[in-house]
Amino acid sequence: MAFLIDETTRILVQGITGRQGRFAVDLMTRGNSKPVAGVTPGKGGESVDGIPVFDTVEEAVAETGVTASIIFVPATLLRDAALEAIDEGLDPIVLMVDGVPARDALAIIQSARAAGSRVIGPNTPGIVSPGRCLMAAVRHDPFLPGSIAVISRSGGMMTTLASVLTDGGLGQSTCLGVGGDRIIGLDLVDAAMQAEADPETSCIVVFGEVGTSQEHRLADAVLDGRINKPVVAYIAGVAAPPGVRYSHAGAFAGDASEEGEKKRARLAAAGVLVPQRYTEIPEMAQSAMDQAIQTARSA
Amino acid sequence: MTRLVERVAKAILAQNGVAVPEWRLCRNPDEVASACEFLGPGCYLKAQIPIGDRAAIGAVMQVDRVEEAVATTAAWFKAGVASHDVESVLVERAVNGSDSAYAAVQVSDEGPAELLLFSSSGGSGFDPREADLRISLPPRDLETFEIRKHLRRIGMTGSRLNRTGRLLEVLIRCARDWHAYSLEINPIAYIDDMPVAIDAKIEIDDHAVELVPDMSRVSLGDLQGREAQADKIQRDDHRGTLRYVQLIPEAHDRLAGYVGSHSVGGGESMVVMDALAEAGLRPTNYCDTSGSPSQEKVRAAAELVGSQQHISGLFFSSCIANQPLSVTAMGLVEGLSNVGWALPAVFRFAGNQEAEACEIVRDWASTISAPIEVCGRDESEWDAARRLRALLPTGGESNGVPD
Repeated sequence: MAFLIDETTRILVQGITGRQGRFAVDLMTRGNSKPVAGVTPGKGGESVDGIPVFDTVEEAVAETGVTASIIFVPATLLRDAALEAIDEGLDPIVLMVDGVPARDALAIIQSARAAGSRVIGPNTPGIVSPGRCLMAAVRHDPFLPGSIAVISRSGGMMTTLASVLTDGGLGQSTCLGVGGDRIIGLDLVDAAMQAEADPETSCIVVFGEVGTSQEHRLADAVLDGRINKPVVAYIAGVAAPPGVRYSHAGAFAGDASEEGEKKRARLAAAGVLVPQRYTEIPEMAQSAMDQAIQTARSA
Repeated sequence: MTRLVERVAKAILAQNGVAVPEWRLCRNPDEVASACEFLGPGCYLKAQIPIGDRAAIGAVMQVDRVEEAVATTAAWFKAGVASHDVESVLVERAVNGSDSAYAAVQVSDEGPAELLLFSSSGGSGFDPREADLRISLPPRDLETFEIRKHLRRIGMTGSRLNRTGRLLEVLIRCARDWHAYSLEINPIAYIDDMPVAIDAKIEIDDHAVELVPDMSRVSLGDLQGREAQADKIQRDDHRGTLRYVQLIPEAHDRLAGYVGSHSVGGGESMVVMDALAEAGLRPTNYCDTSGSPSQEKVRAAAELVGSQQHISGLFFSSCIANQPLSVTAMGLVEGLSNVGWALPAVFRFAGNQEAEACEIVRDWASTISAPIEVCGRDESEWDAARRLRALLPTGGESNGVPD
């Protein structure tokens, strides 16, 4: 098994008739995860690449049995689309949208939490469980089935880390971009907890950066034993001047604790493996997994 | 985040019934003199600059004499404060209140949650983590009695209890209406149990600036030069993302070891800053064009980066990008050609169409005399950054390294 998605996931695309929706349908289809339905209000009855389009999520669920949604709509329409998916009990719900007002994101996340749905994003590249399901707007070829979870605050770096692992012969169980915004659904800690609970994941690889408290809370989770699997965390932006908002809305070090060097030190002190370069990750991950096996045998 | 200056934050609160001290907004020392005479001795001078804890950096002062006020503000208007130009000064009547309190509404990434904070102590240097009251707000409006109950639990009584409760209700409403990441009143002074907002600040969610009740109050004037140009390009062309930050102010002379930086991907841009630093180079700017931008947008970004007068070279790198990098390469070549690029540069392409992108840049490089190297994903950002350093004219072991 993987976590969040697998071969049983039946994908709905909200906003399927738009440019980005169509682009993602093509990528998911190439990744052997062709969506089974789409929703664009007012365009029910149409189809995109043979995928039926419905006016409402309710109809899509009833007609096709979709279980999860990936959403491509303008930021101003995201709240309505996501709440509709939550209302129909879909899980997970992947918010591919950039530029979402924080209070809209907060409302979506709070509603999802109350309904028991898991929200990924906003501003995420999606989720990939290599060889099983691709619910994302990325190419499938950098990914390889295996046992390492990749959890990233950057979409591009999710693919980059998966690619260096693949090049090193190390496959991935699930790769997840948690989203670059400050207010997101599953964050690094939540996602790492999902990986911890997945019996087929043996190591957790993280891409973190400046801004937010996620990496500090991840260190806490390792320290207090909620996460016991080996974690390798690369933190970027150590040289980034503080007090600047970079591309990701979450990449803003509002106080010193949110700077890269502080995060590296805190994670290392918690026992997390912290490379200076992400290119060191495959070797570190392999070594950590070997050591975990040895420890288990000797126990 | 877009931070509104104090006078705007306090005007918003005052419109919603919060008491604020009487003040005059002044744009030159003569106006300051008139305001001080009107408001009387002991008034406060407050430079209207968008940063927190201004008292600690000398941007808030209490003065007794008009001459002192004129001299102080003349210096502010002339030289600015803490690298910020001062365009206006608030002259405010002193409030002889008792006690000092703190109140804020914040959107926190932890949870995530919207928090209401209150403390019966406050003022310059107050740490919000020390607040007496910390409530995770529900999506609905909080009822008056609920706020009163929380305040009572921390020992508040009498008319101060009711009046502070009403203040916090207004604070929550304003924070939500104005899409504030943070709305803070610090300090609050009490005059006969009436809370008065002595200072306030609002940080607006960048993604919601167009949703606030009155956009004319949101000054985007902090953006200058290339940052303002990039912002306009991004607003005019929604295909993909362009984010530009001027990290080192532009100078007329070329600085050894200072290079322009251009990346694909927000995370990759962070990696690049670290790689450049490790190679002893310093980026003068941050520039990210990702999310499948148009060739025109990449071209415009390349012009912004490449036309900086103080750079000695250029570094470009992409993450394992999904976007067609040949489009990116064509934009880069067009933009750099337009600015007459003639300095060392390293281009590192990784991802979709990387071979084609490398070829496009190599073809262009063969037509100009500048030392330009192109590589693919096989070369790490750190190795590529070292290649750039080696290309720079002063790129020896100890030369060309910025302080």
